[in-house]
Amino acid sequence: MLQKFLIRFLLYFVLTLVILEISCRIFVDDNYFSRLNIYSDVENSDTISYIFIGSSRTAVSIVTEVFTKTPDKIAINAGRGYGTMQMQYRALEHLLKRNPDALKNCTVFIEAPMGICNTENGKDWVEDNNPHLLIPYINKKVLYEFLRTANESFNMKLNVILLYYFASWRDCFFIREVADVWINYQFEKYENIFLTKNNRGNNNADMLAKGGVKLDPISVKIARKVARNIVPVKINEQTPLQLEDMKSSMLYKINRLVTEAGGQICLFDTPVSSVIREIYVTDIAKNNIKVFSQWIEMNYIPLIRASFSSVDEDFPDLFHLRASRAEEYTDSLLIAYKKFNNHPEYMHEQ
Amino acid sequence: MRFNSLDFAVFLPLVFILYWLIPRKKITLQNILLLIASYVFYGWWDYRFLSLIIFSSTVDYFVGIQLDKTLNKAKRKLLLALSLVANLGLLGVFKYYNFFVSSFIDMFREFGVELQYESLKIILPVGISFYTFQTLSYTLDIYKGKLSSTKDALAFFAFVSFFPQLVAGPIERASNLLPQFTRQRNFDIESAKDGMRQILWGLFKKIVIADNCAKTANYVFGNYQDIQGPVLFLGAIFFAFQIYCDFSAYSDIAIGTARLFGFSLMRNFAYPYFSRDIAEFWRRWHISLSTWFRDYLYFPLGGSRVNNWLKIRNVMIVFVVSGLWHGANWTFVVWGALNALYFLPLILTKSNRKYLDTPAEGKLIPSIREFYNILFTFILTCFAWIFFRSNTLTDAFGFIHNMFFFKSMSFSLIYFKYFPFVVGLLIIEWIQRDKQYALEIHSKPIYFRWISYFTVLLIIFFFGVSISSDFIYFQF
Repeated sequence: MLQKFLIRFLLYFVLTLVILEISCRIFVDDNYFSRLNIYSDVENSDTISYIFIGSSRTAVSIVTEVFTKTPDKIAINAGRGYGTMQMQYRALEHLLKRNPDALKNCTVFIEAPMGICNTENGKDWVEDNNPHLLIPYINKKVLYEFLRTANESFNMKLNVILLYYFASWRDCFFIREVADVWINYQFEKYENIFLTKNNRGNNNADMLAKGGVKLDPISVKIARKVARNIVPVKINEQTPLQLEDMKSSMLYKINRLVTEAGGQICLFDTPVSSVIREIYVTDIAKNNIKVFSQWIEMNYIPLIRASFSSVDEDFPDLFHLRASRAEEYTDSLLIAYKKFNNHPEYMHEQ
Repeated sequence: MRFNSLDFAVFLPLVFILYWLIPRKKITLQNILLLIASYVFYGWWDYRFLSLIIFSSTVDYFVGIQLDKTLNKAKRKLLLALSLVANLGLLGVFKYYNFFVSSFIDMFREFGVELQYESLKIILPVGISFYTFQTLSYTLDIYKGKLSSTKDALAFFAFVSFFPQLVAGPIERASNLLPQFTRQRNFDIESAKDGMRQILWGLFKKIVIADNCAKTANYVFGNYQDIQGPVLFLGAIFFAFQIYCDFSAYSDIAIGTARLFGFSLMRNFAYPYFSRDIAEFWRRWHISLSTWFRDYLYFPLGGSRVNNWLKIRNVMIVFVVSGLWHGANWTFVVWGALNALYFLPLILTKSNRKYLDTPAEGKLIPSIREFYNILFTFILTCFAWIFFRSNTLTDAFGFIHNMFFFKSMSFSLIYFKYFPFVVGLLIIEWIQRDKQYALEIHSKPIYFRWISYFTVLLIIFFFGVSISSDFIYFQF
């Protein structure tokens, strides 16, 4: 009887899985996952001139076109919300495997708000709710390394295995997103019929926060609340940074990877609101910034500080720079970078 | 370990196969496996708190044996007190200490006396309210002479920590569950299939309904100051379905899982939102807790066989304690008191047992009167849920104020986006309301069954929430 039950269950389970798997492999556009790969568009290009690595802060505040005014220059904004430094490292490694010359003479800018980078040691490979961001860069060898070294739960490790091997598991995120957008679309369509303009509420399709940068008034209010709640948590979590810690940091690994590939890394200070700044002015943080400065000096890694002033109104959700000021900020970053490189345009200012 | 996690998806088949590989007559071996599996299941969350389960089990195991040995009333009372102090003491320290101390200090502050205290940074162990009540029922039943103690320590420890119902119930009675650990369990294919169906239905309710409703409910309750009246009503309704689908899903998965191992757990939910009055609602909602309070608190207080004043006192005590059982917060106390107020007119007019049958029995649609009663009961329940969900009483009153006093009718249809799920659930549950759970379709033809399972799986696949969350009742 037990055997009969197991056979029936497996038959049903495997059959369902096979149908789903085949359907996903046939019908779901492969583009979805290839789009998650930051460098998918430039894998076959010649060398890349500039890469900007960082969080969603980098994603919204860097306008790559500012850096590519000169012909033949390619700039990539690799800023990703919910990404990790390990993910960024794997993305670069994956790019180099496809195109070993990609980073020759490339400047890889890395976000360093208030003069300090993310110094994580790479044991946290993925953000809890977004493990799929890592998948485009994984092969069997990396997967094995992840399973061996990652400081992730058993649940997360299983999740990554399933994401790697099963299209249906991967596409589940995508399908749910599409279904959600479809539902939103239907509701908005009927909203236009039933509700007059005056009594229509805030019609932001992704109002129920999913983590993107939203600028409708309610989402901004929520994000501001989150920002204020995050600051004390972050302050509480601060631990003193030692020079030795940097040897095991992902920044160290990225630096090595980039320099060995013929490029160079360069840190850039990103603007932050007064609320977020509080994280960087505690005694521990100040000390960490000092240690970090020492380390970058020892490793000849430049830190570019753009001459850019901002007020809290420039950060609608307190996290991200307003889109309308992004170009101005990127401009000032480019100028600072040129000055640092003794560009002829700015030689007279030296 | 969560039922809706990959850990459990590996854990369950593994334990299931190992369990049935053990020859049926080797009950002790099966119990050892269940005990180890249950401790692993619980320890997955935080192994340190296993000590509390072991402590509670040990105390009640020995108290039970001693209670059976003695007829001396004073000694029996002392033994009972020992069990009560140990179990309620655990609850008191881990769940209520900070609440009572801070409430005490707030009270003094009202009189202008400032007291200082350092709040204990205590983590609430998952499921503590469930397993302490389960072990307590064992001791109380022996004390009352309804049950004999067991000398089989292994069976007792496995009974207390039985993993399907360990962290969020149903709160089992020793008289039902304990004997199942001491007799031979046979694999019954029909029961196992039924268990799988119930697990699937539970996962559907949790991942599709509860987690989707949670998005709107969390948003509305988290930002009630900025949201206008009609949306707040909707938020309360979504929370009502979130908590129902979340909690009843856990019970469904627990009951289904237990059936896979040859155990039968008590029913915990019976379509509560089809209740025609509050008394019926409490016979259909969290049945294992309601009957626990009825048997071990309400009846000992005199129940309804006392004068009206004592009836009022008894009902208030039971509901307020039930509120406090859910959490150490005044919002739960008010939620309990409010339900008591709903319940009192029924018990005072002796109409609390008016509806014992299935709503609209034998009919497809209810009569207008029945429909009105169901709707009215649902509205009362939703109103009480506002206190249950709010973080503080100020938030709850602010929420209610904004529900009725608002400046404009501005709202978006997008808030209704998860409503079709709720409507779909209600339709299925209404059709299946005389069944134990809504996916009980074993009598239907095979093609219907297989298509139904596949449809449920597809809906989970398309519309489930990718980020799995904890079950709400874990925090109680």
